[in-house]
Amino acid sequence: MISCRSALSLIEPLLDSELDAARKADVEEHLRECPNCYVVFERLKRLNEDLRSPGLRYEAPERLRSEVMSGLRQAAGVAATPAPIRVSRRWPANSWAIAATALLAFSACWNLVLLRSQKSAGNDVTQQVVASHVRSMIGDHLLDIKSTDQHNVKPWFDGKLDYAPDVRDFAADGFPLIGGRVDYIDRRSVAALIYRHRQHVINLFVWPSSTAVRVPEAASGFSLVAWNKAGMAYFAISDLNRTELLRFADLYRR
Amino acid sequence: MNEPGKLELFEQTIVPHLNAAYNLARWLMRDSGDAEDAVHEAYLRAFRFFDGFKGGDGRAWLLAVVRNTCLTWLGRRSAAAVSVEFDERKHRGEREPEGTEEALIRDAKLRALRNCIEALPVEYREVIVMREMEELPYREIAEAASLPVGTVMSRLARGRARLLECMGVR
Repeated sequence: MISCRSALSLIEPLLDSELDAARKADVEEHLRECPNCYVVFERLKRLNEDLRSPGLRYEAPERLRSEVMSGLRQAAGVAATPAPIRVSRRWPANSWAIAATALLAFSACWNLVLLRSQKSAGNDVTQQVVASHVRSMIGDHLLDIKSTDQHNVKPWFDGKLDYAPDVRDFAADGFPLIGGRVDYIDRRSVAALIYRHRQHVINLFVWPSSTAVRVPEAASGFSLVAWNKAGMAYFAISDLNRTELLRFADLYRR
Repeated sequence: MNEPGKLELFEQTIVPHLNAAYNLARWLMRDSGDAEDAVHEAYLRAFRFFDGFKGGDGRAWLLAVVRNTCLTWLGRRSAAAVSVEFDERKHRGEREPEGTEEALIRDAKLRALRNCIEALPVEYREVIVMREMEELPYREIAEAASLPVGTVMSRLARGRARLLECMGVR
């Protein structure tokens, strides 16, 4: 076992996710067996959580956004045409909207084919999602791509899936996107987006389907929420309580 | 690259981080008007030096510019002997507490924590904000603040110790 001295110096890097797996295991082993160091760990962990309260983060006023944009346009010598440029930021490329429409059509056909097998599939999917969530918490399986920025995660899925999941970050609302991975649910590859709320992990599975996924409110001690939007099925699972998971789902559905 | 093309790329990679930029500026300047001015100037500066952006995480790159802009302003302000003393009255809670008792306690705690962060020396405050609120890894904080990683770690540790002390946690 490592000494208290080195354990104490590694507590903050541990909380900051800066340790490799072996180091992490060393510190965690020490903390399990050393109450004194554990007290320090708990204190810092609580401070970390408090510092991440959404109430502490300042949001830029909407006015500042337009001021910055018009300042930039002036600097670039582009005529001030706020409306089109602002729209194009929300939709980074027109092809995106076209792809979404194509997807909608594609998934409608896909679902006609699958309709018969879908009826009994609800329970199956739930079980697979629970299994995947549990598996994701073990070892290094949680993230294939690590990021706090949806602009890294989204392109990463290109070529790994035959559809483009809607990747969004809700860091400002206390649900930062921490990364993504590809998982296998219901006989197909699906996007898994991983979010964190305080110390809790949320796995959000996204795949093309306009058939409503019926899920229980909880399974194996995990809260579940599923919904459909724009031809996609969304399935969120977490050890958060259901009210908080619903809050997350509301952000996404908005 | 022509200017409109440059603006488009800048809009895709740098402008989306406006909230992160404002949050850092707001904590460094400790005043919303100053923070807005600093962000505005930082964005214009960032655009001017955008050719130096080598891709990668635009947020860390932008935060470096924001940080430098803010520190320059703060330095100018103290050089002009304008008081940068922390003004408690001005920084009292900015949001009205909600009704329930639980919410009141949570709000009081947040207010206390906000005051403690604002009372930190700026060199601790900047690394705490970048790490805890923007969740930048050590390496990116080091780049944004032009510091060695070891210094980032020791400043974080000292900043956190001060915050715990300020919050009365023993």
